[in-house]
Amino acid sequence: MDLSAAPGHGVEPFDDLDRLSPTALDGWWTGRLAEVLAVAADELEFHRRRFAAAGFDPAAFKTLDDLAAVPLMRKADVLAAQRSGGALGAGIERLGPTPGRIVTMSSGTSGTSFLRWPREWRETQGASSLRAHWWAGLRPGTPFLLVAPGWHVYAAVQSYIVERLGLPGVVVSGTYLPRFSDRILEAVRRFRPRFLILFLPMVFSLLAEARRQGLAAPDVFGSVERLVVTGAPITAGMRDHLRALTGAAHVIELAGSSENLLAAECGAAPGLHVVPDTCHVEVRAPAGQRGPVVHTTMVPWGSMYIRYDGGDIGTLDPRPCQCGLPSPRLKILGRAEHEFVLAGRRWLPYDVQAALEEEMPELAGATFAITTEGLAAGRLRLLLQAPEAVEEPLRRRLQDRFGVDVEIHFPKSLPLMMKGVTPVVSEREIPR
Amino acid sequence: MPFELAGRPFYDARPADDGGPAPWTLDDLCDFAAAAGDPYGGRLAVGPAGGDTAPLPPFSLQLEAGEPPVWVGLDGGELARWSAALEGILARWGVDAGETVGFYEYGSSPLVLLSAGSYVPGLDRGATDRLGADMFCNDGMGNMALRMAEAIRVVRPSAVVVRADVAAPLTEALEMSGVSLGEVLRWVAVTVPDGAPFPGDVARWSERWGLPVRRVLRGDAAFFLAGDCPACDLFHVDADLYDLEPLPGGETAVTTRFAATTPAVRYCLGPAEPVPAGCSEEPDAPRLRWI
Repeated sequence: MDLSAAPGHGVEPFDDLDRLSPTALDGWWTGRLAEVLAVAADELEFHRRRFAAAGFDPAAFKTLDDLAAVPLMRKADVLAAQRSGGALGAGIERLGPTPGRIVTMSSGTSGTSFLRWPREWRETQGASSLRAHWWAGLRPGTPFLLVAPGWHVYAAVQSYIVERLGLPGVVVSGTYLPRFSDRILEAVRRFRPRFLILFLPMVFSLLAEARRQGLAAPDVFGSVERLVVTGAPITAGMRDHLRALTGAAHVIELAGSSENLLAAECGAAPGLHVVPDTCHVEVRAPAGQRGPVVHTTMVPWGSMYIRYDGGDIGTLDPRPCQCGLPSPRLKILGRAEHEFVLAGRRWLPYDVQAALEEEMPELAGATFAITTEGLAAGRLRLLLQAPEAVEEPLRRRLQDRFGVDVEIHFPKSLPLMMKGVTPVVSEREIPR
Repeated sequence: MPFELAGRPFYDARPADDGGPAPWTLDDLCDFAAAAGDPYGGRLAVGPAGGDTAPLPPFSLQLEAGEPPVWVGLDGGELARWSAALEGILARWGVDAGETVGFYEYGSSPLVLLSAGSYVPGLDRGATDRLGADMFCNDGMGNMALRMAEAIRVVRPSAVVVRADVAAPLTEALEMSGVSLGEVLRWVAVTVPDGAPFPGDVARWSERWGLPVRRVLRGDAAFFLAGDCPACDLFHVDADLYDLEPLPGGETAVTTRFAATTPAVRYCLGPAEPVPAGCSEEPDAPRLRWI
């Protein structure tokens, strides 16, 4: 079924959970959260200690509003517990009786945490992740490139999905970094998947490799009907840019984290539907406004993150969606550590990317970086890969928009990893 | 022959006087794949992959070694037998229930894939799963050495498997992190994408890291895996999985008993000679001397 082209923009439900009303889903979440909190209090030292310190009694949890009484946890808390627990873990791990567990790692942007996952977790989380892929349009009958590196928890999830749908599974040698683009490119061309999930910068790496080999984008992405991008938020302009570059009819954003956050686009409305049996999500801000994303696992196995503030900034839209899915729509906009202030307002690189493409649509997908040196001087200083002719009109428009002086420089190149990720960097980190 | 080879273009093209196929190398397979435009190198039973008539194998793996890259295909049963080879190696090296094995190796390496059923569709239980052990994989890039050192410090595996080409950055990262392998691990095993590490390198790493360093012998094109033996220093081979055959010129061919999807019959492992069984550690195991 073609999701976004379906009458009424309906999503084919994965199961009865997708048929609940938003109110009924809140009820379902309340029951599951009560179970998760009870397991945490009974079995997991980290949570038991923190619940007690906060005066929180899981038995008193009756409605979603009661979540506010559950203490927040952050990565620093996990790293501290991990340091003291060592091989025994951080005290958040429910491992179950089945022997043979995998230990995965967080991405390491703010210290590496080690997460433990038993087979019991894989079955439950795998089914939930399959729901997200189903929403994104994955169906039986296509080869599936298993793209996750072995250290990432998605490696265990995607193999489950391939098993459940009976898809031919394809593993490319090396790992999913630009250095191996030639091999990934060869695999995409050979196996011609209809559904392809890629870390956003890898899309550009594959296109660069295709150009190097004298291939056009359709030679690579010609079979791909649904291109799922993950690892970085995309703007509307970036989506159009990716669609134009690759020829994929549907470009779908999927957001996830090692700590059991998962959301996927339906295509009918902005934002990504929270996958309800993976996590419950709060955004600590008034409805529709941006704030810290806090999520709680719905899977009572493995490393259990409860009211975890992982450092993402986003918005949560609880209004009903015409696709029919009941869960609210999350849009992660960036990392808290990438927030910056201009003229007294807080911004994220995402805002600059959106501004570029709104002010000059031809700049959708352009590679740029925001420099810390400029921000320190109270200016927006951009390193931009675009024709220099845009400088003056763009400078004026951005100046009006952000209310500060804007400088634009045009370096010969920027690292490929910046494509679509738009970080805030020091100019000292940019190769000359 | 364990499987019907007729109708598989690669084998059809290499008849030998004894009725079987002529021994072949990875280069032969890559050359055939390039000439035929078939990523599986003509080893699938019907037609090239991706064609109208050829169903894809349930699981396809691109080999790291060889140029152009070639693919092997397997089903769940074959994956389970291949992982049994790894299980035997890890068990002989002493991995026990409740322990953790770390891999500083790509997630696409057979050693990682065969270790845990979580990673491979259709495998169900991998080598460490069956031993009751846990595992982690750090990926195989040199710039991830500091994270591997941190993983060893925090997770405290009893053994790690390391790609030879990241042994140097790992050594540097361990020194920077103040992690002593000898205080955490019982052994390190070193692996290369095809064949086995050089004994001289192994001796140097062993001295540097202060613990025994084991060697893995790989022939991924033939699903071949063997580990060296602490007692006799030779590679022990699982006779239930592999048949060895000496070739003229001091080389050895292997025929893999379980490989049905992309059969491996008379794959030339390279400069190795079979040695009769008789090691005190595993008296019935056929052995190989890797030269």
